Amino acid sequence: MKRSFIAFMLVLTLSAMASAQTGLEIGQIFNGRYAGDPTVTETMMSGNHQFLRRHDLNVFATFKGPSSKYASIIEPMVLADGAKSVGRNIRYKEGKLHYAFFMLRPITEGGEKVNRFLYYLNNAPQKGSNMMVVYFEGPISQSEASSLIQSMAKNVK
Amino acid sequence: MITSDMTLEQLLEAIELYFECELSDEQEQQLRRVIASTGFAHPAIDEARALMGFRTPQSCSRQMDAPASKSLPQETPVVLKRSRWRSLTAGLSIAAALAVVMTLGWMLNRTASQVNPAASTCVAYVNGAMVTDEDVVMALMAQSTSELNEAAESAQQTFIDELEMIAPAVDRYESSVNPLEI
Repeated sequence: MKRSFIAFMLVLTLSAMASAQTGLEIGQIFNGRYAGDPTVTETMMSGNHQFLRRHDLNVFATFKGPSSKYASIIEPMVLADGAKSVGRNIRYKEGKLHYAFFMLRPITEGGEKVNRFLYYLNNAPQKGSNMMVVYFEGPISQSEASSLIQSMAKNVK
Repeated sequence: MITSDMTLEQLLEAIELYFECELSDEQEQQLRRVIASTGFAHPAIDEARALMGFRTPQSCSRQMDAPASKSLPQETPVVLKRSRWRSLTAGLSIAAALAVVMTLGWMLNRTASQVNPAASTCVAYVNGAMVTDEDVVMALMAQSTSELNEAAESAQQTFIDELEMIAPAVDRYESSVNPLEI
């Protein structure tokens, strides 16, 4: 009885540790932790919204803040998630991470394969010294993800 | 050796060892046989019977062997204390298991939702204030993606430029080596 219980607890603890390692590091920046900082602009959209439905997305989130303050915090998170990615495009400028695109390992939700895309941009020292993270997920391909970014940018212009 | 001619004290001692999981399989079988047929009545015996899967309601055995119960020596509270301790540890174990399961559930939920804090959200934080107007949220998202697109295009262009730079070197290498010789 005692032995069975110890074995049960061990299995549960190991499962908990394993599950904790599968979470995304950048989840920490979209939980409102830095939302009170007036220099930060953060957006989060999920669920039943026209924009998401139109582009076949589940989640779309952005984070923008001063590079001097946030690059050192967020860059390690992005790189930690990126280390487990299945596709990437990374650019360094003057020895610093300037641009990164990661296609993270897909997850399955309700029997559907969901791709996850993570973008990082650190403009320092150019263009106002801002850094940003864009994350979105949905059953879309990498080319559809690129097209989405392009079409959204076009609409702004 | 556990036999049916054991005294109550010896039997209680054997039961205690059984509770501590310190009996061998053979001794456990012997204890089962003795417990099934013993004339002694004791809460620890009833508990052992219940644990071994015998149907021995406590009230019945107490009624059947009331005189024998009366003649029990005063070491009974020691066994009862152990019994209470076991109940307490069992309770604590269940509470600990529930706590672990709840933590696990919370972690799994956190993992499943990733960066998605709720089922349906449309929110932006600008200048430290929360905005829920979908048009404003969309405009902010579009603005960020516009900047990102410029960087992505620039990164793509840099990549193409780099490829163009190394292309002549690759051509030279390819033309000087016969692929059939490789």
